[in-house]
Amino acid sequence: MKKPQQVNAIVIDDTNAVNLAVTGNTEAFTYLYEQNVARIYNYIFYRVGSEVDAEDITARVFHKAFDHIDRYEEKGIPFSAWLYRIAHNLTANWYRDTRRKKEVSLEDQLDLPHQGDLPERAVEQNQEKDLLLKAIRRLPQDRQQLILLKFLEDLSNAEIAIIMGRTEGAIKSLYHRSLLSLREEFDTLDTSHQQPEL
Amino acid sequence: MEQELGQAGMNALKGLEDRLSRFIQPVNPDPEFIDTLRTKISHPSTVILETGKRRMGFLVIAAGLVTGVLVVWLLSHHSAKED
Repeated sequence: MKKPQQVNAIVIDDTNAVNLAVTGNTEAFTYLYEQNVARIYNYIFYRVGSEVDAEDITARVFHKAFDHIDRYEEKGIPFSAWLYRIAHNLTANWYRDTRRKKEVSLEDQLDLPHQGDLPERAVEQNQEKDLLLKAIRRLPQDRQQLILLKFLEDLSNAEIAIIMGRTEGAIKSLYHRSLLSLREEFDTLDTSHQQPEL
Repeated sequence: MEQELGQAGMNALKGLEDRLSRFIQPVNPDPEFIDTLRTKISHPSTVILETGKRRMGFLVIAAGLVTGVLVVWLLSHHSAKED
């Protein structure tokens, strides 16, 4: 956990940062930014697969949050959940705009190290990872969101339910359906990947 | 769920979960990006909108027209009363 910051005799910590930020305290918002930026970046990076786009959308998330912080009402929803919702909406917009432009190729989507320098096993693992991430991005947006929150953030179904605005039971059910469709997508990609070129 | 899938299906899903845990690992964002964005957020730029001279001209003309109409109306109202 980050050390509390003391600015103008007010100690900003986890308990009061949100309340101070809502009243327009920039230092408090900066504190919240530092607490959350890496996780929001990670979430977006795995959704879009490109560092440049992840940085662009992350910046938009925090600018939007900063501009509309007065609209944030706690009501049992953690600040991070509010940020995830903004991130999800902006990523959905990005998908809509990107699909309009073109289908992005797998090579464009993943910032992988140069495979020629890697041992055979590492190359295989990279390809497997590559296919799995591509399969995730083929899922409907809510399923992508659920899988990333579960495996990247290690959140419980109850916590994911708050972020996604659903019940815990609905999340549990959606999770199993997401795994099944992910397995199908992965198998489809894997089969086409293994077919020899003519 | 387990009944629908059978043991083989459940094992396959377990294997998929293991792969997800292995491959979905946090990445470190570029520190330069984090610093730049922090600076932008902690020092938001103030946007000053200048009121153009043209806009001011329209306002003066509009105010003059309203005043003129009001004077004409008052005079006509006054003369109507006298008659």
